[in-house]
Amino acid sequence: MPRAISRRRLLAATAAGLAAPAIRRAFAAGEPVQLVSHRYPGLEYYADKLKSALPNVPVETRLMQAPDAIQLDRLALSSGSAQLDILWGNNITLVSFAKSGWLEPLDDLWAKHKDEFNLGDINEQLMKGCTYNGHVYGMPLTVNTLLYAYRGDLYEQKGLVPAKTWDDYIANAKALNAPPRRYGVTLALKGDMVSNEMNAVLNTIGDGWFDKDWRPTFNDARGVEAVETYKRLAQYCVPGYTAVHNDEHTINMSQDIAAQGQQWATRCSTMDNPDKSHVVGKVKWTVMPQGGKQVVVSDVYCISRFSTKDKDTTFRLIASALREENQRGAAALAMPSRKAVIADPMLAQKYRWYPAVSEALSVAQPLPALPEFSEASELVNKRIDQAIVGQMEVKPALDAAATEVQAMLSERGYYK
Amino acid sequence: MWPFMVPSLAVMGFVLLYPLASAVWYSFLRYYLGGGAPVFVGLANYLDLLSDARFWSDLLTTVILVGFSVALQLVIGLALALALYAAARGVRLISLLNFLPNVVTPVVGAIFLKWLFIGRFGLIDSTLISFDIFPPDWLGDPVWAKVTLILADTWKFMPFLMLVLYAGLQAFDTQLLEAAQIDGANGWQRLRYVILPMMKPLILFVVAIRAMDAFRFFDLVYVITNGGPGTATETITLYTYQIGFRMLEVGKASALGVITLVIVAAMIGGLIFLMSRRGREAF
Repeated sequence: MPRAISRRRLLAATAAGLAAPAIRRAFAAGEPVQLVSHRYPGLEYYADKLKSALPNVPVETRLMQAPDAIQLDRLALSSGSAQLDILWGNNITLVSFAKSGWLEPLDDLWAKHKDEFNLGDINEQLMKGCTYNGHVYGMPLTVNTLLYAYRGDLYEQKGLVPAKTWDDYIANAKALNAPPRRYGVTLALKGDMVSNEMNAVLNTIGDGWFDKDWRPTFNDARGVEAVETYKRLAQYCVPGYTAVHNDEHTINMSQDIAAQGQQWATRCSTMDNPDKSHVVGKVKWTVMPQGGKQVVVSDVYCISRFSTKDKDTTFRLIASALREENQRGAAALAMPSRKAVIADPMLAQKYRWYPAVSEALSVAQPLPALPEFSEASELVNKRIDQAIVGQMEVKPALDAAATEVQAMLSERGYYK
Repeated sequence: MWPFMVPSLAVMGFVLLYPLASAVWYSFLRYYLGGGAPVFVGLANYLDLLSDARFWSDLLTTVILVGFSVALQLVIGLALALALYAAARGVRLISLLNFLPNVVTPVVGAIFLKWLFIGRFGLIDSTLISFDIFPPDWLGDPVWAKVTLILADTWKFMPFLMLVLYAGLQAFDTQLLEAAQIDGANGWQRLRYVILPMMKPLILFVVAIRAMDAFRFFDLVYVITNGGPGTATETITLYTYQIGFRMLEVGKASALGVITLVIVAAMIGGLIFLMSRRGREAF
């Protein structure tokens, strides 16, 4: 027989409900540290290392695609939620989140633990990308850049050499284009990959994205020429490239569907994995034409300003996951951020793309450190896609993007 | 009786009216998620959107996608419902198999469809190429990308129409069909002059429901084309998502949400008016 709800029971339940947050706080010390991160094999490795980094500090990880992770971070942080403790970011999100006041400055903790974790060994160039307004906000786990990946065997058959100019790059793509069996090039022009792919051509043929006052330069005459170059290249590309992101791009190279393309350093190991590739040992890597200036990004762990966990412990957790031995363990999956590991000749011998990555890093150019770049690139990327597929002419498309970006930045306090 | 309605009204108010009222309120604010406090701007967000060429282009794209996909779903759904109605055996099994795409989670279905249509190594391209047929650029050509989405939406939602129409046919008075047959009407004439007029209210009902649903076309587009190539398949809801979650402009995204609500309400209002004029039994 069901029991009636008495007034006393109701009051007891209400009191328990009201006391719940206080009880929860009392037990908070034992609650796991929460990580939200982008996922690819390299980051999965570090998420695992984080779980066992410190004894008696449990860690829960939620790994997802980068746009989803960033979106979740934004929603949680903009509402001041304490649900996230450690969050993955890249150079763009770090600057954007730091500007919004959502990240914990790490300068003091960095200084305190520098010797214990040998933090001075982390590449200084990468640390620049973890700094905003003179304060450190993140710890770089990896470095990633785009390489010029090409089929060494096909180049040899056709008597081609790696392109030194964009015109040569297009000529090579044309020479190897044999649809539908194999295409000359693979492009990934879906979403945020547009700005990553375009960085090299906009920085070498064009004048980059913005001037020093954050006024657009991507629509000047050289910018138009840069996008026209990509439009010419797209003629020899695997179909559907505006719906292609990293996974499909990697498949195009590993399944012998494309002969060349810009490829992330983190994807190189797949080319030599016999379980996933039909072109083992056939892909070679070098720097993009005309001096590279291709995109470089870093996977970074940051600490939420709203986290209620002990910040010192959280910092030590991340620093422990970043130890040299862990970085060596991840060397096949991601380029490490420690100088001692990057420069290790044994690793360069073992992973044949390492020399190309080292060379590419020396000429890489990150995306603009504009806190609103992610929003600006949303506007520009769509217009570039429209220009490349022929939905709009290149010049009007880029002018429209420039007008939209200026209006957005002006609304957010720039150009005063 | 009123006190008994309080709990359900409270729940409705909390999950329906409160978010709606919030969205309307936010639509009058300049509210950037990564910035300072929201500022009241009156109708500025609405004026911005209504003078934005991308909004009108996305509205047209949405209307094209909704119009063609619902029409195709109706034709195929009705044809299959009639075939099932005429079938002597295996009706349950066939309707169950037909309904499977509708049961699959939309994003999972969309990923599956993307791997079917993706250029060159997708299942469709691989099959066509093996027969020496040069496939179209399903996801990269502005026209084919729309066709792909219409086919994808039809695969996913046609079973719903088919099932509702089949249920409607089950309740059909067979004496009318028999009378028509005795009068010498052939199959087409029985369909044209007996079945369709009788089913008109039900057809309008399912079309209204599907059109309302299809106007919020999001998950399939997001996964398969992400609105591309360029903005060729960008729908109103995808644009709302981009303004809200990519550009972080909550006020403007709310205004676009309210505009979409008004458009859908007007569209459904028109269909209800049509239905109530033609056959009140539909509602």
